[in-house]
Amino acid sequence: MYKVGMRAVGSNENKRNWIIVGIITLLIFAVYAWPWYSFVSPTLAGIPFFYWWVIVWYVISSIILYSIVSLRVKGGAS
Amino acid sequence: MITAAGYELLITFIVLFIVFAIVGFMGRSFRRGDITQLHEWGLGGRKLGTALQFFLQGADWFTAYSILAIPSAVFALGAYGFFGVAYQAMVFAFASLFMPRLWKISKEKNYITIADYARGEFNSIGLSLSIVILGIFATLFYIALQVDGLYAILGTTLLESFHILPTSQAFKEYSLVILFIAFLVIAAFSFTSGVRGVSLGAVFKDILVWTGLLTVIVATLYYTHGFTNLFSGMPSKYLSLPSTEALAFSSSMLGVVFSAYLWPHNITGSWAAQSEDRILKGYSLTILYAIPLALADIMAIAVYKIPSVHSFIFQLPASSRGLYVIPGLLVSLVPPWLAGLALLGIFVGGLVPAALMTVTVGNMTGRDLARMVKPNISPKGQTQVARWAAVIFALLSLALLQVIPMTYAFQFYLVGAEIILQFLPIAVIHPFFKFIRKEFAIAGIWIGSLVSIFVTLYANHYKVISTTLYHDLYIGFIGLLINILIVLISLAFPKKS
Repeated sequence: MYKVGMRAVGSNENKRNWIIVGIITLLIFAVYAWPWYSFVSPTLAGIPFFYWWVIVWYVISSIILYSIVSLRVKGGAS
Repeated sequence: MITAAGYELLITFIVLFIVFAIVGFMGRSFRRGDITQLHEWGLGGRKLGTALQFFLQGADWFTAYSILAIPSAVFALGAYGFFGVAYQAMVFAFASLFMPRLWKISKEKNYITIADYARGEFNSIGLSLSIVILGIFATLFYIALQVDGLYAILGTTLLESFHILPTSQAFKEYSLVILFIAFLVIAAFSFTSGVRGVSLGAVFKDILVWTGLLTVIVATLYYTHGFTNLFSGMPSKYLSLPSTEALAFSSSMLGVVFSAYLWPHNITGSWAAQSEDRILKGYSLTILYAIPLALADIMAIAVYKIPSVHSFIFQLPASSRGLYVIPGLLVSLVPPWLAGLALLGIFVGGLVPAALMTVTVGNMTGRDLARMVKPNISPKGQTQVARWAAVIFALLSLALLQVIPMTYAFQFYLVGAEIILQFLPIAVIHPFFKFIRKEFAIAGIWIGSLVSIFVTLYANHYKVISTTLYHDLYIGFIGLLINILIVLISLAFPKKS
């Protein structure tokens, strides 16, 4: 067995918080990493889906990443 | 002869540049600390809060080159060019995973640079030296990229005010003198104020760039009467990504995502944060910076729709047109003073990251190289070496770019980005799973880098390069895969714990 660097790997709460961080990271990658969003419609204010999808998710990603900061820092998942 | 409009643009540009220089020097007395200590000079005393992290990350990641080159790619290639912004949220999501841990280790053990970290964590001067050499090489050509952007801004400014064409001999001479002055200024304020000066310069730069980008967006929409008109009649590759380009799009994005916050200067900027939550908050807010940038990138399409912009762009030779898209929109559509303000913002947008890179190279020279040569060097001595190294590096990089043609410099940058990706095992894996042995870390970095370089040369038949194999696969990943396989061999030789 190798010692894992996480200080409190034994704590279930920390483990749970790391899982949340992992899921959120995967979600953001799922949104962007493969250009499955390459459609023209539905358009938003005349902008093709491909472009507005990318932009709208900046706001969503920013909000979720910001909102889990205290959970991460206090919950030992940083 | 200078026109009234050109005069207005030029004066705004010059006045704001002087303000920028003053702001940078003011950094010296900003949140005062003992500047003779390297962590005070080179990491700003690790005191930056969320707001300054936002400005610093924004200024150093959204550089002059990204502001100019992504619209250039959309203008020429259509939706494919949008990969340059589509990765932004992933960049910060990925950096959020490992940077707080890296910050914590660096704070606890007072590491100043990633090479310093490698030396301490792996107890290996060889690994530290490898990172210094590869890091400085890559950084040097990252600056080259910024200089390419700076030329486009000066090209526009001189064309608008004195009708000097960017292709003329006169332009070459004038722009060299101007760039020399600009680099002297950033060298001087890096020397006196270190990361503090860079941070204040970053605030100034971000405000101007946001103003500039919003101006471009509003003005373009006003002239095209909305997005529907902007996109109407454009070929389909401008409306969405052709499915044949999906793999290349995805792999180019991921190449950037995994290497972005391994760049030594981005690590410096992040380590300057006051705490882990300031880094994370700073990162999550910096994503918002991509909104005006992405919208401005879409505006590149307007070159085909607005005659005055079209004629500005198409008076230039095809090879250099791209970088002039945003400047072209500015000078054609908005009042000269506002164009001058935005152009200066982008110009400074190349200088601020360059300043952070010079500070980072300074840190590596003072902290890592100096200690290898003279193991008992005092902390003050390290800072002295670092400050002078920053000045020398700034001037040397500009001089080198006069010798190396820009095409080659750009190729070196592409290779540099592949090399930086090879830092991933030690910077991202090691903080969490401490199994990597130094021998395999060194072998991994070098073999990963060399494989990337040779495959790149092979894929391009040893001619002008792009960094995708069969146009679809980012070659840095092949190097990284081999690199990770090598460091995994460490598992066969467990450390005594």
